[in-house]
Amino acid sequence: MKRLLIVDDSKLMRDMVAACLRPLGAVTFEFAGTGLEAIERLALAGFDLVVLDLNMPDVGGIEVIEFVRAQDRLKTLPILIVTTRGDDASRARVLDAGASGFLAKPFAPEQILDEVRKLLPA
Amino acid sequence: MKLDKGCALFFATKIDSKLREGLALSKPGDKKYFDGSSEEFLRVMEIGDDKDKERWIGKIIKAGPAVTEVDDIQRNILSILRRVAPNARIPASAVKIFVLQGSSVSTSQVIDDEPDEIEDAPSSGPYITY
Repeated sequence: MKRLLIVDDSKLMRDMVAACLRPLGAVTFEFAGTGLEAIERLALAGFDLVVLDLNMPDVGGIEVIEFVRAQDRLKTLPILIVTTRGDDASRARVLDAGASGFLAKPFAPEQILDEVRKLLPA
Repeated sequence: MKLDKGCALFFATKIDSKLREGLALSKPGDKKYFDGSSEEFLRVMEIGDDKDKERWIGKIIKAGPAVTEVDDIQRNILSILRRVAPNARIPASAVKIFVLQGSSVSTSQVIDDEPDEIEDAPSSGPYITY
């Protein structure tokens, strides 16, 4: 059973992203509503993938990536960034920071499912 | 003029025939995203009188969102609608922002730049009510 962490300050989006990813099958979802909560969860538990909103009010997605990549055991954890900014410069910035994938909002359900399938380890 | 820091906002798009059809045909498990059962999810509201009634679907946001949140809110709404009504192609410009009359307002949150004796003339609507 794979464990996914969905991080977004909108409960609506957390719930909807999980619904879009249910076709993955044997997956459990956990949720964080802030960047700080995400860091706490990542520090305590092992996950197979993180879907991470970039724009959050307290600790942003970039800071979460930086925390993750600074931990030896999390260096290879796949992180899919979901963001309002879909331009090339924003994409380059998050990939440089250590994100594994990038998806611009608004997205269709199959788009996020495809991206997660690409990143989720077998 | 008064600055009201208590009125909620409604980020919404008008329900046209295509979107109405999409919502009607949405999966049973997705109806919770717009049936009004949760304040966190989308809501459908009516505007105008009986003969000129419009229905809008969107999200209620508490007063004073940061300008940096506005784009995120709008795109989240469009992402949800792409799931619940995939055939309704809604451009970003179709999402509008309304003030919600009847949302919880604390009088202490109203900043008034007019003397107390001046009464505001009633404005003419239309209003969204819920």
